[in-house]
Amino acid sequence: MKFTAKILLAAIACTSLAYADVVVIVSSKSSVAALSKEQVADLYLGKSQELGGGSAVLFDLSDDSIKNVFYDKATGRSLSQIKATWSKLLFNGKGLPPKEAANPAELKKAIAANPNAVGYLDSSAVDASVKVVLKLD
Amino acid sequence: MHKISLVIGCGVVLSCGAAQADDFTVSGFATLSASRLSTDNAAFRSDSRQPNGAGNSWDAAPDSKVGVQGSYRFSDKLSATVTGIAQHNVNNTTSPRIEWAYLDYHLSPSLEIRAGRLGLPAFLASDYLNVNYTMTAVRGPVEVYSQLPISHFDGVDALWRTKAGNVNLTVQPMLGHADFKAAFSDAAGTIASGKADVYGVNVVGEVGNWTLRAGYIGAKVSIESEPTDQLIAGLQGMGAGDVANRLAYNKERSSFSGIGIAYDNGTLIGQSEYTMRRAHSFLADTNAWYVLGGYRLGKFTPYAIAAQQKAISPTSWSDVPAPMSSFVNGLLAAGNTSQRSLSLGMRWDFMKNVAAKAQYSRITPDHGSSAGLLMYDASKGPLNAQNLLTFSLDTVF
Repeated sequence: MKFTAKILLAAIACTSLAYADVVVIVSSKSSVAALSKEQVADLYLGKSQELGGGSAVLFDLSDDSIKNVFYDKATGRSLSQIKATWSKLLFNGKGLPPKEAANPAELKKAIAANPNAVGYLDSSAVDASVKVVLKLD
Repeated sequence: MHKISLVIGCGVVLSCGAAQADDFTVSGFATLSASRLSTDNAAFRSDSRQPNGAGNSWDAAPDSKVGVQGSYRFSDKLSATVTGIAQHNVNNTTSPRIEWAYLDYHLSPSLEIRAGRLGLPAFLASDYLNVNYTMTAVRGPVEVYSQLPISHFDGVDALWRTKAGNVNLTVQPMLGHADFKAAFSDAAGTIASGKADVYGVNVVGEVGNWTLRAGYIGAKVSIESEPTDQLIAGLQGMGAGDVANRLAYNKERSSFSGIGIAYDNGTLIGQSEYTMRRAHSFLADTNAWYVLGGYRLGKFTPYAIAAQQKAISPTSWSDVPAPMSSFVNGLLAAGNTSQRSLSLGMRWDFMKNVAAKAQYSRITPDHGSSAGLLMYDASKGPLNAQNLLTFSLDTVF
């Protein structure tokens, strides 16, 4: 049991080192073709809810290492700053923080199913169910 | 004991709900804090709803609190939110109060209406003033934020989000009623209770790293307290009806307006507000402002704040009949809470979702005020400048 846990931890450590490019994705059914870094920052800092004429449904990955890279590159903010920003919106009833997906597979499934959904992934995890709208490097 | 178990009971019920349904979310916030003032002759409080404050020994009462918020999403359009907060309150207890309890209905992606108990949008930071974790400093500067004893109202508001060029605009009209209780800043903390019909509009614009805010709240306010009621009765008995009428706070038009600006590029933080309270009787008209600047160095954010509140209406009347003059003018003088302060502080984001803060403030009574916003027995003569030290741990969960 302990041994498997160690392997898992090692695997997680390796993947986090391997994050090269983080990409922002929407459903392949979405009408949105591309997003600017500013648009992504506005969405993930709660300044804008609008996406392709509808209300954006945002997703986070529960894995802090890729989350960290995404927020740093897209918004220039640390995870504690992001927590403070979303706490403001959450406790004033003006916005709910992004939903958290447990892993990239679950994230892709949720995004593929919802034309208003937005998320981010390591570029190596992208497949045909989702569409890349911004590459962060 | 009874209160504590009630809070825990609520928490348990809410967490169970959270575990059962995806549409039910529970969040919370808490601050554990200690403050100490450089004198025992006066007391510092963070809010005029606190009937006493910190003197020259460590006191957790001014800023410590626990809040729990539950939201239930009935559909994509309809949701309900309830927020309860336990903190040192006007009754000198920590019994929880219902701060917010409202239904929120989305008419369209850009327009929602809310009804129930709602936050009063009086300041730039009104919406998250209770959640200290979201603020750089230990608390909203008291010169500006303690001007109103009202933080919520029962009524309706609307949130209309639109874009003007590249500015994300939120326009929030509101209408409702608020009952409130506050304590005067005399040493005994004399309680006043009041009611207000409120209406107003709040506009927030966000563009890039900038947030701009302007708001106006109009109100018809009535306030009663035992000492003022006695003074008014005494004045009427002496035939000084016009002075009595001026002192009575009975359905008086009052207003609160302000503008604010905030900048945050991830490293550099700046925030400033200018606010104006227009009141009546023993409550002076005040203008108040603050400027905050901070700089993030990794997990550390050193910051500085300059703030001032100034009473701009007369704090003494010359036409009060002699036997009552000292009482009435004593009351008016106590309403002069003019002060300025300079604060230096440090925020340390030392672990996930928890921030530690330390803040030193130099508080100086100003413009003829005997003790500024500090609680004080004015018969002891004017108070000198004082030092205030606060340590806080803030979290969200």
